[in-house]
Amino acid sequence: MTPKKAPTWARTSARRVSYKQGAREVYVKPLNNTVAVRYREGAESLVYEALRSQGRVRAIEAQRLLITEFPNAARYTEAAKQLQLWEDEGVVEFVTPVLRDEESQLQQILTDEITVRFKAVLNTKQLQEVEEKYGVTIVRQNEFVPRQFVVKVPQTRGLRTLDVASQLDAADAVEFATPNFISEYRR
Amino acid sequence: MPFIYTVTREKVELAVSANDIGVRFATPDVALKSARTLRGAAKVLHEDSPRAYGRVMLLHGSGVARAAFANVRDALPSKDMQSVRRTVPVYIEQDSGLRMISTREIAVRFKSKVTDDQQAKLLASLSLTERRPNEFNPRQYVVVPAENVDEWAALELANKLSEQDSLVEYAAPNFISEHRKAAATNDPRLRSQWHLNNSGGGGALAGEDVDAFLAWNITPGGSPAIVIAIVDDGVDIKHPDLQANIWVNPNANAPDRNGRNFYDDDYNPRPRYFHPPYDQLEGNDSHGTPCAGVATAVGNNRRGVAGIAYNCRILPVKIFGADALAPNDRVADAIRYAGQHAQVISCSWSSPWNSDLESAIDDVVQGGRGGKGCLVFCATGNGYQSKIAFPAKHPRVLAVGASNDQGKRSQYSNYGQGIQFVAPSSDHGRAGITTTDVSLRNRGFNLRSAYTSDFGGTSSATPLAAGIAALVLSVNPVLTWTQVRDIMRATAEKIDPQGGNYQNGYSLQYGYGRLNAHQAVTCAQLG
Repeated sequence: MTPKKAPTWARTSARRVSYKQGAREVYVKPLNNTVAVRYREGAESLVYEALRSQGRVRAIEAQRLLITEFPNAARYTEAAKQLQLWEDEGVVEFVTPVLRDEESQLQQILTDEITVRFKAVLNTKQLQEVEEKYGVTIVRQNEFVPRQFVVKVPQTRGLRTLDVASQLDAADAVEFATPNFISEYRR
Repeated sequence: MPFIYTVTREKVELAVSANDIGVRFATPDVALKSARTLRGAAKVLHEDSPRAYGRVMLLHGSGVARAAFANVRDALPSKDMQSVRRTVPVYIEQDSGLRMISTREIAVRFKSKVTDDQQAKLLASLSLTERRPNEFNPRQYVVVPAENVDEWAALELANKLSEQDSLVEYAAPNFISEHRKAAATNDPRLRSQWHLNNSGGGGALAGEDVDAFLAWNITPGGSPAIVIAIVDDGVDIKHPDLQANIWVNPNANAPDRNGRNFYDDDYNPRPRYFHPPYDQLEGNDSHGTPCAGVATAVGNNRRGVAGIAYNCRILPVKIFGADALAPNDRVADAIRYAGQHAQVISCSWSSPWNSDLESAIDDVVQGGRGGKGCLVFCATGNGYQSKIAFPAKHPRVLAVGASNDQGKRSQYSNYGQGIQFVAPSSDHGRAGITTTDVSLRNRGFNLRSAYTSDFGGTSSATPLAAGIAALVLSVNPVLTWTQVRDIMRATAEKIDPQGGNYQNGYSLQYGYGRLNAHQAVTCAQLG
């Protein structure tokens, strides 16, 4: 069943937004009518075919990502309804905007992950407190830096990952917290 | 006080060497035998070992030039002592640092309309006589002073001849000069690698290079103990001109046998993503292989090209597929991984700023090499901009821009505050860089070959700079990262002095100048 109303994240306008990284304010701008969709294992062809009928799709297989640019807002809104449904059903993991970093002019795909480095090694209880306070789940510890983790923001919607990253970055125990973007690199 | 002689109005500055003396024997065979005997006694052969040419032997020793003749003679094998005639001065040319043994001979070329009579009168006025005509130029002779005039006077007499500029085209002492052998390798495409040794041709300006051949005299391709990480898309580890230099994990049980792939999260760093058109950068996994070749393609294997550090090792660390999209945490961890196994890290790319990558660079620069610090080289970018990209602008990164075969900044090369150096690379309408290319059939920038001549950008300048750092560490592995940086800064050439507008040795266009491998390794060798 297709929802009648487009989800709120689909109404994210292409306005300039920012997130905090220590003393630095980083500015990004969502690309018009463009989303990044991470599908569940095995759902690639279903999601890919549906999106391809609505817009131009770029597949990043290694990341299970489909970056889709819709020709207009109407197509985008229509697709967003279906994506919302799939997200609720677990067919897709997240649907997020594609941003353009103001300084480098490179694209950044917002994901549901944040990289957090704590100032000291925290015990299990302290880590649980962080999870509860910020509503995140620790998904992996860094291989090289034991006090660094990747946390997941559940029910990612729109720019929510940016907001949570800014909150975590300001926490006393945190050295830095940064959205784990999938970034464009210029070779 | 410096000595000067003049050739075609160019002043050549010399200093008398305090630590070298020429010993003139009665016959050439005694000079040669004496040099061999002394070398044999020393057991270790190095550039300061006694050497002979003709009747003259070059003898090196602390303060030997000030020693009395009898003392020098007494230092020789006893049976050769009687053959010693005299000692002669050894000069050091200030520009090159090379030694020149004075002889009594002067080479003189007269101007074309000078008559035989005029020549004879001039020579007689200086008590010079013709010893032999030049075989190839009828206006040129070797002349010598009277018997009682020794080698010390030859310089002054040559200068007196030079002063007769209505008659003399040039006159110069016929020194026995030390020559530095340019240690070219036998790689057939080496002559196209102008960035290593630019002898001119094709509109390029000779000398606009990093003096690699001279550096290779000191450290031929560097040491296999030094590892350069190429953090990029795939590196073709089966390429015939790279394979022998690919890092092998010393831990035989480790899964990362030859590097690591952070993009696909496995241990195969080879290129694997290709989309047509296959010869374009966009959409293809073909950027890491030429970068690796510039730094460390195998040299002296009678195949293809040579990397500047052709005996060092390559650690392939794959972070991109075809699209140059990658998660921030994987790229940051790739740098941390590289810092565990490599001394030098080369990054020919730019990205949006992020804290994780910034901290990864801090991690390896502060903690790598047992605290001495890894050297991280990053491209300034090819955006025609007056600011450099991230991560090149990170204060602990060595930001590398590009210069062309004319000794000028490449038009596209980003410059501005934070640039450290430039290194030779391509430019619009100028020669590109010859290096390795993906060897898979119909893949790579050159679909018909495993080599390309069209690589370039700051992408090429960066592994060249990384390779020079690897040579520096090869001759002096205990240097800290700041010491290596300071050596590279201090020995860089201030190219384009007008356009560069250097202030206190630093230019926003060129940083501290264009890297010079020879000067850098020479300086590193001295500690």
